[in-house]
Amino acid sequence: MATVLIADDASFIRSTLKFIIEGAGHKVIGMANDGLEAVQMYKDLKPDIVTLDITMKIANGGIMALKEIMAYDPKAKVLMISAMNTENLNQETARLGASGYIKKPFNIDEITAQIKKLSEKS
Amino acid sequence: MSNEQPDFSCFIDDYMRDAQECFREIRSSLIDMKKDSTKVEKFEPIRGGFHTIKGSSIILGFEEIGNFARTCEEKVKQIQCAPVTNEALDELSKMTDQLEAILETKVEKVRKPESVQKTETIVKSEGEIKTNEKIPDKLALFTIQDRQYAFALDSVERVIRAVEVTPLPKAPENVLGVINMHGRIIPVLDIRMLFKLPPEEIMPHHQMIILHTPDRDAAIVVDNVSGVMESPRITEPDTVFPEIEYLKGIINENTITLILDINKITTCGGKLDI
Repeated sequence: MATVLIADDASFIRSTLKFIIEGAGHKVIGMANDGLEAVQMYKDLKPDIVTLDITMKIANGGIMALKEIMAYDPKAKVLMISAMNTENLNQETARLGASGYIKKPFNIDEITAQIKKLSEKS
Repeated sequence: MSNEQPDFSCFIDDYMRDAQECFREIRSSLIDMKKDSTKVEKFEPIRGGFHTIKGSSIILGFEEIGNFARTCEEKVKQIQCAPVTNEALDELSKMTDQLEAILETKVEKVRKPESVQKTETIVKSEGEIKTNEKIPDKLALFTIQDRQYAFALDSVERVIRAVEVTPLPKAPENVLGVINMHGRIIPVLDIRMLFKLPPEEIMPHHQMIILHTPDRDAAIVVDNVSGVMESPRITEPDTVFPEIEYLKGIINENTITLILDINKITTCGGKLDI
């Protein structure tokens, strides 16, 4: 069981991700509305895994939050969420330290497999 | 891996709230740009709003809305590439109105499904119209002895593999015993007896449906839970079935599906008080 922080500016996405992640037996310990909140909550809650929406539009997007979280904790396990399934973007977030990405529309199997894989990594 | 999109319509209120916020932001940015077309940074919240609506709509399976939001997003990118004109902003404003209209219509439909609105009354075979309980819009299908039945999906708490039932010495004859589900003691009703079917030993391949009603919780043993369906044409139960007193309606399409009356089942037709 992993502890997870979800960061997305859309409450619908936060709710569906929470539903999927908790349905797979993990614990969502926090939900952030924007990048700044995500960074602060990461520091406060120290989750095992973070999901970050790439395109959070208010107060610091997902990419900036990724950079700040990785700077604070280089071992952070971050999954980027995006509807933009572009190779360039995935390479960019991987270069910045993201452990993987989840594309929209959501595939429950894919999300749970990614969370499971990351939760098993020491 | 399954590519089937799960049903997230239970989060429709979150979706609507997000969409309303996006529309507010898009309109406010459009107004700012009409006042001062050099404020090109205002394109970002407009594009972002359409992008959010697109992503959530596709996850909900609202393809039409998702595709239209994508068109709007592309329109923003197109307008960004040329000098901004009032005509272009007006067109974007019009597209925003259209998107909001189809989104609101869709959300309204999901919140009040047509099948529920239309089934306030059921026409009896004699031609008399009686007011009846609403027929559910989603049904959980299952089989017992090769016959397909259905319960209202919202009365089904969960489906589990059949587990051992602990008999109760002084239980009514319609109760097989109880199961312990995470500390909750749930009576298991003998639905085969209610339906006048021969008794059958509970086997591991059977499934248990845990039912939840405002009055009580109960479990029944079934051969197989076959899925969920939207409720199509439904007619009143006929007298050809021995289990008639427990029926709420019948779907007669390719297969006959008998919709069970949850309250009658959990009280064994009013004969049970547990």
